[in-house]
Amino acid sequence: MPSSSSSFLNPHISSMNPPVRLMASCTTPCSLRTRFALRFLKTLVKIKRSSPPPPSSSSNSSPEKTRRRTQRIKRAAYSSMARAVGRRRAWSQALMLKLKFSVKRTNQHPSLSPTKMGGPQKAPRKAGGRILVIKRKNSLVKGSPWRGCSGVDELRRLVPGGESMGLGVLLEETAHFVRCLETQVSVMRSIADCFPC
Amino acid sequence: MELPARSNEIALEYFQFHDEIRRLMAPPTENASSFTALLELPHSSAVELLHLPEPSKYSAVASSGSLKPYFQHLGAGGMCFPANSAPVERASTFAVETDASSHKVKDEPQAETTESDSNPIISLSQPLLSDFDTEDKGQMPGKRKDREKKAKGSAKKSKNQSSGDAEELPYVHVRARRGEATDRHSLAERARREKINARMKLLRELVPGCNKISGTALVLDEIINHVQTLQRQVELLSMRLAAETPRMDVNLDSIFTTESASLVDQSFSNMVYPLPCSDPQPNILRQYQQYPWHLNPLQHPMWVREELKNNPITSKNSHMSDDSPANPAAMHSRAMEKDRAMKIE
Repeated sequence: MPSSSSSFLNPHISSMNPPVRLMASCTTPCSLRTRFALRFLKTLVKIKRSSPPPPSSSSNSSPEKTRRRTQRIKRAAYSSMARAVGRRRAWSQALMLKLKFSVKRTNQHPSLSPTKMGGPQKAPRKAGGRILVIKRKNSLVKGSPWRGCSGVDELRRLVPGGESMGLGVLLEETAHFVRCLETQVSVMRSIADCFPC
Repeated sequence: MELPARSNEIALEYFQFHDEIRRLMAPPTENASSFTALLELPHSSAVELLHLPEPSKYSAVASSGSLKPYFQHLGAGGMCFPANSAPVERASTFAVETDASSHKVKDEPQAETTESDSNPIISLSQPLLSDFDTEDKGQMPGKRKDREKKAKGSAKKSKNQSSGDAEELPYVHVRARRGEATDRHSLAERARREKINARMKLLRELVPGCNKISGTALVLDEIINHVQTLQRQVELLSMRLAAETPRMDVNLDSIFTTESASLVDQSFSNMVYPLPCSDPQPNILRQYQQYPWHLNPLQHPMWVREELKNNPITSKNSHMSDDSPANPAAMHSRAMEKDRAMKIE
């Protein structure tokens, strides 16, 4: 019985929100899905609290506000996913750095938009004292099917941190990245579906 | 030249041989960190393995404690291979290789006899180099090149000096196939190519619709398209959530403010068990009955996940076509939401 088992935790848990339950079902306690869901929900709550709802609950908020909130939610989704993955993967590290870097940048120069990572081929960046030098390893694209492949460059641009990876590592990271993206989309969709349309 | 050709033949035969062993063996162990660990042998006997140039050392291997019970029926010439695990297989690969390489210099006829002994057992024709590589080397990608180089170096050394250095690092050997070049560069390139092909295979399984496409360029385009689709979906969903955020349930606040993170984790784990994956639907219906919201009982994350998997890849233009036709209500609600979001903007 869901309600009886969880009732000891919280007096009003019987009216507990379905999103938490829905996401907890079908997954192991410590899976990527639950980790991501937990973090994302927390951030979502924070965003909700920071932008107080308008007095009339209809579509009163300006489009600018909604766009800003969209951006915040999107960034929250990516950052919570990256943090849920942790430092195990190169792409999650790169993504965390990129988000941190972009936050710093917007704080310093609000007019500047955050740059996408992977633009320059060689760029020294500082991350908590360590200096990252991102070099492009060109030598690994020698084999015949990969020779003139523009898809590889495109993939490097898509996967965070892809510019500095070799091809083998890039493909591995892509696989994990795709799986995490699917998790992210499904969790976000289930959250969004839980609330009244 | 005769020697490289000979090594090619030996190589081919050994691969077929080991493929046979693997077929008969249990699945390989996952610990691939160190060679001696793979061998499950004491260090000394591993080194011994390297030094002894005779096939009798295999019986020494066999008689050493952990590897005793299993013997292949191979070879009349005293080549007994314990066949109970992949590490032993690797051990024998390595042992045989140094053996073979040392034999190349010293005792060619002896090598030939030992090799010919394994001939009658060989029945396969497909080289499983890629599988072998993936299995062995997928777990230690970073060090492989060094090890290969060291292996080649040591093979060269043992060729010249015929005294195996006591190499304690794990070796993963790449064997040349018949008719292929055996110089260092092409070996390394081939190894890397196979690693990349293995990763591509994984990606093809992951991205729906890639199995039918042949050719890496198109598969890559498909993968890129899939990633872009997913990112677009994230953007759309964040738009939806941004629109829905003011209307979020108050309980959501209370859950996360009153409870600590550990408690919520506990609640997650407690809630998982009463809601087994095998039977989601009655539970979901029970949940939904408690709430006054009008929700489609089919909108379960598991279903959502399946829906995601069933998404057609060909929808490049319209993002709304990602929704599965199995959830018309969901689609309708999403369409309404999107319209509202659009109107807001």
